[in-house]
Amino acid sequence: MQDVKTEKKEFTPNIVAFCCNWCSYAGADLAGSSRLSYPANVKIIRVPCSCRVNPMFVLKAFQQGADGVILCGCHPGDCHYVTGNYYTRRRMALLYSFLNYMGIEKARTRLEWVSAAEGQRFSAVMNDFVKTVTELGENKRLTDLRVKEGE
Amino acid sequence: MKDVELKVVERAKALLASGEVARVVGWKKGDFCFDPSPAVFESVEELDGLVYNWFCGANLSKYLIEISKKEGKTAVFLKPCDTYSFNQLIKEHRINREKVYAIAVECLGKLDVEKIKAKGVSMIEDVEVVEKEVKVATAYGTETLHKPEVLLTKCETCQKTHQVKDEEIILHERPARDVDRFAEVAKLEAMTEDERFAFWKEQLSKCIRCNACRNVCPACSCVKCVFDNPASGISAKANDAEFEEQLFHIIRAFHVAGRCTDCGECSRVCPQNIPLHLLNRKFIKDIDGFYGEYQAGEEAEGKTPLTSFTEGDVEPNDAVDGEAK
Amino acid sequence: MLKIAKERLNELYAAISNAMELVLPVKKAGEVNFAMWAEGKEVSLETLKTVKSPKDTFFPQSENMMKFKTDGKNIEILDIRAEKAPTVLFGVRPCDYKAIEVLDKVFLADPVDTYYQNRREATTIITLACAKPEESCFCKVFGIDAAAPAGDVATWLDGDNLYWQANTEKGEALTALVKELFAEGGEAEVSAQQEKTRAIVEKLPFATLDLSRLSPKTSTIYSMTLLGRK
Repeated sequence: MQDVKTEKKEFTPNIVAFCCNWCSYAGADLAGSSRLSYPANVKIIRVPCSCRVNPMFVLKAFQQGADGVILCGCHPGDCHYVTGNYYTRRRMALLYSFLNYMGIEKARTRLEWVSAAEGQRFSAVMNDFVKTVTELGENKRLTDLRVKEGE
Repeated sequence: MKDVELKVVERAKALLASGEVARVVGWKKGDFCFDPSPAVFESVEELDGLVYNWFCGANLSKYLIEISKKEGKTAVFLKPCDTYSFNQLIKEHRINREKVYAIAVECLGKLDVEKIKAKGVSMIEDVEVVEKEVKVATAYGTETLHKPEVLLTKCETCQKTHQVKDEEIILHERPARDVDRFAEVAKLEAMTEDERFAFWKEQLSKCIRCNACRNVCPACSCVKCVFDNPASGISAKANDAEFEEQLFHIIRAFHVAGRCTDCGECSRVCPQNIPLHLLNRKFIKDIDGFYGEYQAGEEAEGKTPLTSFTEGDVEPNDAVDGEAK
Repeated sequence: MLKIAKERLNELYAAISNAMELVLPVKKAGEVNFAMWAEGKEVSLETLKTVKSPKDTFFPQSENMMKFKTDGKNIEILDIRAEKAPTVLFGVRPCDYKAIEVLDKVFLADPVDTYYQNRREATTIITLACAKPEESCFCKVFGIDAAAPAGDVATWLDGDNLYWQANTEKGEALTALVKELFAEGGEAEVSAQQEKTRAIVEKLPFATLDLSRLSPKTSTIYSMTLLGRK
């Protein structure tokens, strides 16, 4: 169900990005210091390794109002903890496929490998993800409506 | 079936009387012929209440987690599907194999009394099955039903065989069959995202958080369940918010992913008949498609799909419906 | 005694629904539970028992009980209770109705649970007698007559009609609202069904349950709450 935006106010999605400390967070830093911009509505949560991300974090993020969730980690084979991101890959492959099975749009979840030297790639990935989620519209399927009550 | 039941009771009594086992885990006769419940028998007299009939669908392996810790050996009757959960629990070091005497018992499918009643049959007094005919004796006369229509959902696509046994009681061989247990999952995968969302919203909105599915699941054996832990942020006793009914089931299905043996108990015990097995089977289908066919509980040791990896695993962005795009 | 043809039940639901909220057994996703009526919903009066009891009407699984605002050291407690809109609870089985009577004994006694009271007083309960009890039915043992339920209005359903009899003031008030949809009569059919039902109940496995094994304390509670003895 695509929501047709009838409001004049432009919809800016809430994006939560879980970034691993050693590669992707450093990549985000590099993007910053290189003055490469990416949207301000991307909220980065730094984790020691992408495999620290419990599927519950992804679900909680959606529940608390995220419209899209993206995980960033080191490229497979380059994990600072050697094998962490291999487990991430399996976990998220199953989780994302399952969320899609429940009817959540596949494009709301993503996983990208970004190294510490890839400032440009980080910026590009975030811009692209925000664009995709903006087109999808507000997340109405996996959200705690009580969170919206106070607004 | 009465012949199998006789042997079951005979063996249970012999094992207990000889002292070879200290107790027997089996099914106890309920108020009616269709509601036996899992029970522990500690004396030969109590074993007069032991039954094994067309309604013994309950999986007994989970009870062994606590019971096998007791002094002495415990005998247990395991249907083919039950042996997989039993193995899986041994693999996870929840059951001590040496403390259990496993008796593999024959199974030609179990019946679902709800399905029988849904056909308008009531005041059931006894049930007899001959080939594909289910003869239900009621106070209003005898009804004859078609077995495939009144089987427990989990039995409809079962191709399981006994994976472990110390002895067996098998008087009738089960005919081989070729069924696709992922047919329903595939049907859902073929729908649009919107249709799937509508389907699951409708089904899961029935959920009353009775936790029967979690309580009966052999894979759900955490001493402190995340849903009972106030510190986890997801403990709740009721589906309060729009999303909570989905949250519980998504998380639980993920927690058992790779460890679920597809025993079907979750769907059997759900008072609202939510097809929970379709959630767990989705994970199994995806695991089979992404990482190679894997049946939890086939072996009592070895790695599970989520505690292992290969360097060429499929990328999450490409992985969809059990195959890499 | 009033009666209305089964084919016209939708008209009855619409008429009641126009004036107040109507909650009755609705089939959804394969299961029958009490839910708000709306045009097009599949009502299932033939189902003997809903999966959940009608208790949710008086005890929702969750509700906001109050709100409070803090301002430094001051707390302001806001009573956010809304008056319960007049509701009709339709299709309550005799045993479920008895359960509501037991709840009344607890929650309407001093100190009164005002949340419960609010919902209870705003609700008119229409019971539905049972025509096909099942083997697990235990009504007789607790002094419940499956063929003549209590309630503000008692109803019976057979192959052709729904029969309707108001028992209380609330029931009379509701009847006045929908009287024009009904025709007079039906005593004979209702009597016939009652006889049949009572005959079945006599033969149920739990009709002669031996309660002498109850401990003295449980026995007392049982006779006070369910049998209404002091």
